[in-house]
Parts: sequence; structure tokens; C-alpha cells
Amino acid sequence: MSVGQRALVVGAGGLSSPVLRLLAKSSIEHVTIVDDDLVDESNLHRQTLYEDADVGRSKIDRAEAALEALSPGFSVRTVEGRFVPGTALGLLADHTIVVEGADNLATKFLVADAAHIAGVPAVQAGAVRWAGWAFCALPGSACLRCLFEDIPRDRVETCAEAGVVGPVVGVLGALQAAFAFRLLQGEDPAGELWHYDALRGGLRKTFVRQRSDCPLCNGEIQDLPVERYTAACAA
Amino acid sequence: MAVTVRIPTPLRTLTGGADEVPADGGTVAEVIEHLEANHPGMKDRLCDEKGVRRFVNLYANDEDIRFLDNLETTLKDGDTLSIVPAIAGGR
Repeated sequence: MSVGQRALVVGAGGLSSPVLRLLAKSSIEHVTIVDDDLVDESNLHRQTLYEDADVGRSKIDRAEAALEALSPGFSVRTVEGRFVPGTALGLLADHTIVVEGADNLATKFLVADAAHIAGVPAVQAGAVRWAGWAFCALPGSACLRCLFEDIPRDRVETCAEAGVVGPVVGVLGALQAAFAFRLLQGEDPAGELWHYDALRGGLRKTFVRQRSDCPLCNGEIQDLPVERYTAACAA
Repeated sequence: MAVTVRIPTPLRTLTGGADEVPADGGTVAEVIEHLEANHPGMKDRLCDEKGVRRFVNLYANDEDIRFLDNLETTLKDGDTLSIVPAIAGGR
């Protein structure tokens, strides 16, 4: 079902750990992983690609090694660095899907904008503490800007600030992988928004509709100026 | 009208940890005022001077209020109002 399909995975942390494990075991042809971080001991409870011996080492290197052990011969390319405006479209160019597991909303919006401009389906998620969301956007469907409109400049917690419970990113990452599999199989989950709350034990699906005043869907956003994403991409 | 409001984890500090709270109101705006009365600080987390904050979504029975009547969306007894904020993390 996935022959010739290539996934770009942004971030190699809590969400991306289950995503990468599941993609490596699928029939997808290739993944490219983008991340700039080192494995920290505080990551290990939720970033299941890594082990104690990986602490202090490059995440992308350890992720590549983990995937090789999991699925020998699986095609992996690693890109050390952040997903930033200057390289976003180039990275997306030869991929059929992008799966985003970044830790800040500026990067999430950058992925959404770049994917829309490039015409690449985007599977995105966010998680803090006990809850989070997963969302799928296709070219022509509702996008992240239809959902959250623009990058908040305050009041939004990240995992680094508030922490996240391991099973939350596990569930949401698995939902992202499920979105990816459905897309690669030719199904259409566009606009689906899944909410997961581990404390309530609830998984709920809603649909995001295109907003008539969405600047991305209206074509008003056609480039990726650094200033639009600066605040949190550097976080 | 008595409705149930689903509270996301980032806002549970305002509800004493409760993930759901009851509220009264015939519209979303009235429910928010009632929430503010019982859980001070809630309104500021949900709204600014222009209305619902851009990175907060409110769902009336799973329908985004932006596609209904926004803050004037009517609610009836037993309805559920869900607060869905932008959540950043994942790494």
C-alpha cells in the first residue's frame, strides 16, 4: 500500500517515537527525521526510541540506530537542525507526507503553512500533561489555521514547561501513525481532529471545517518569512 | 439552562482540578460569564476584547461555535460546551 511513499518526520521526541517505530514496521519506503536535540534523561519516560545509554547523544543518530535495529534496511535520512522557514519547502519537496511532533506552536504553524504551500498532507499533534490533540490536513481541506488561526504569543504551555505523561504522547503518536497509514492507503481523514484526555480516559473525534477567512486556505500565505515564526521556532 | 463545561488540563488550575463543571446560561457568552463568577480568571483565559481568543476553540456539542453564532450560540439544558485550547507540546 505504501510503496514509494516517503515521510518527513519533524521532531524526534515523544510523539515521533511511536510514529517512527510504526512507520519503520510499515511498508513505507523512507523516512527523513529532522531534530537538533540531544537525548536527556528527563526524556526517557516518554521518548521510547531511546535508552539510558543514549543520554547525551544526538537524538537523530540514536533514532536512526533504533530504527535500524527494529527494521533492518529501512531507509532513514537524518537532518540535524530545526525545521525552519529557510529549509522547510526544500525538506518537504521529495516527501509524500509530513508528520509533525514539534514542541512549540510556531513550528506547528510553519509545518502547516509549508505543507499547504507544497501540497503535502500534514499530520500534526500536540500534547501537554494529561491531554492533547491529533489532526490531519490535506491540500484543499481545513488546516491548522482553520483550527487555531494564528501563533499564540503567550499562555500556551509546552512539555518543557508543564511536562507530559508518557502514555499521552504514546496514544497521540499512534493516532498520528494511523492517520499516516490511512493517507498512504488512499483514505481521506482530512479535517479529523482527535482529542485525547488520559485523566478522563476519553478519546473524542470532531471535525474541523475550512474557515472562510483562513489566510492559508485563501492563498494569502504563499511564502514563509522568518519573522512570522521567529518567536517560538527559536524556543 | 444547565450545561456541562469540559475543562482542558491547562485550565483546571481554575476549577480546583475538575475536568467538568456545571454552568448556567442560554448562550455561550452567558455560560462564560457564569464560569467567570465561579472560577475567576476563566473569562480572561477564553476571551479577549475581540471575542474568543484565536487559539481557543469552543465546541457546543462537538460543533465549533465559529460555525454557529459564535458567543451568541444558544445552548439548552443538558448541552456540553467543550474548551479546546492550542496545546503546543509533543517533543
